[in-house]
Amino acid sequence: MNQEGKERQLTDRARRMLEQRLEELDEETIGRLYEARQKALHRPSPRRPRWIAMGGWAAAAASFLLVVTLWNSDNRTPEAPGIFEDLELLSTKEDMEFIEDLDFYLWLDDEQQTG
Amino acid sequence: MAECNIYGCRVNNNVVRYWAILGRVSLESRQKLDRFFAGVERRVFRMAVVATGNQDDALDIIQDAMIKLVKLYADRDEKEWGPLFHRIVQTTIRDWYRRQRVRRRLLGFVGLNRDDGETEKEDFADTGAPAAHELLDHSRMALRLDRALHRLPLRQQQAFMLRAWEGQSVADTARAMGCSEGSVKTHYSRAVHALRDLLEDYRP
Repeated sequence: MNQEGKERQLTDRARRMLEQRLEELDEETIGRLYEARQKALHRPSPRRPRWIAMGGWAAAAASFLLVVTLWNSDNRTPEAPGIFEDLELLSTKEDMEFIEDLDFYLWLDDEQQTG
Repeated sequence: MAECNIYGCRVNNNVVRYWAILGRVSLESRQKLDRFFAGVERRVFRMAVVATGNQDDALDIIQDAMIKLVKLYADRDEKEWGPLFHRIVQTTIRDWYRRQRVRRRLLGFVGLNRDDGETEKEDFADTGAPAAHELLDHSRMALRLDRALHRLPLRQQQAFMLRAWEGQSVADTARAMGCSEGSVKTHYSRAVHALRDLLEDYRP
């Protein structure tokens, strides 16, 4: 057999052995690879911290009280629209999403620190 | 490290940037990337295990490489991902080697270096393989090949894995390794020569 043929035979053997090792990967390792892939591709679903949930209820109660107070007030001052604008700003969907992403920021920050 | 303040939390700017990049990658691209990674991750992981000698570092390397591919090349044509991903993985492995060398030098400097060149090689016991006495002959040989590959200089190891296992052309291997085709041929030939005795013993 010539040199090239011999070399091909050797690399064929190596390939078979490497494939063999690939088949020996255990479930835990395969799971960890899956996890790594998910972390690279998706934002982890945010767990909303308890204070945000409680804050939500508190904000709703405060808003309700404010609306009732303003409704009953005879003094409809020019400040009122300003207050409503603030409320609108605070309750926009974008802002809540921003807050909900805090977990993600913290996770990625942690990844950077440890990486 | 550049940081910004979001709702009282210190957040690394890179983190915010990565979040913004992910937001721009379409769902369709993410699904394609998911399929692509699922198809190659085990093989590149095994390459990283052979290079580093342990699973944890190999997993870190693969995850870093995945993040880099998403960050830099998610919008590229699907066909380009393979070569690009191999290039990123090989570069990340090389960076890992450099960091290890610096770490060993520092530890040696303060007299704490316990690495006599064999320490990491023994970590192959951590690859999820069965105990040596349970291995069939071919498995035992495969484990020996892992160890022999790990002992090769990194460039020889990379050339061998990409050429012999992945079946890549000299040109593709050169691209993945970031060197000339001539260097690939030299590294590959030296690797085959170094592994010859071991491979000749193997009778499948």
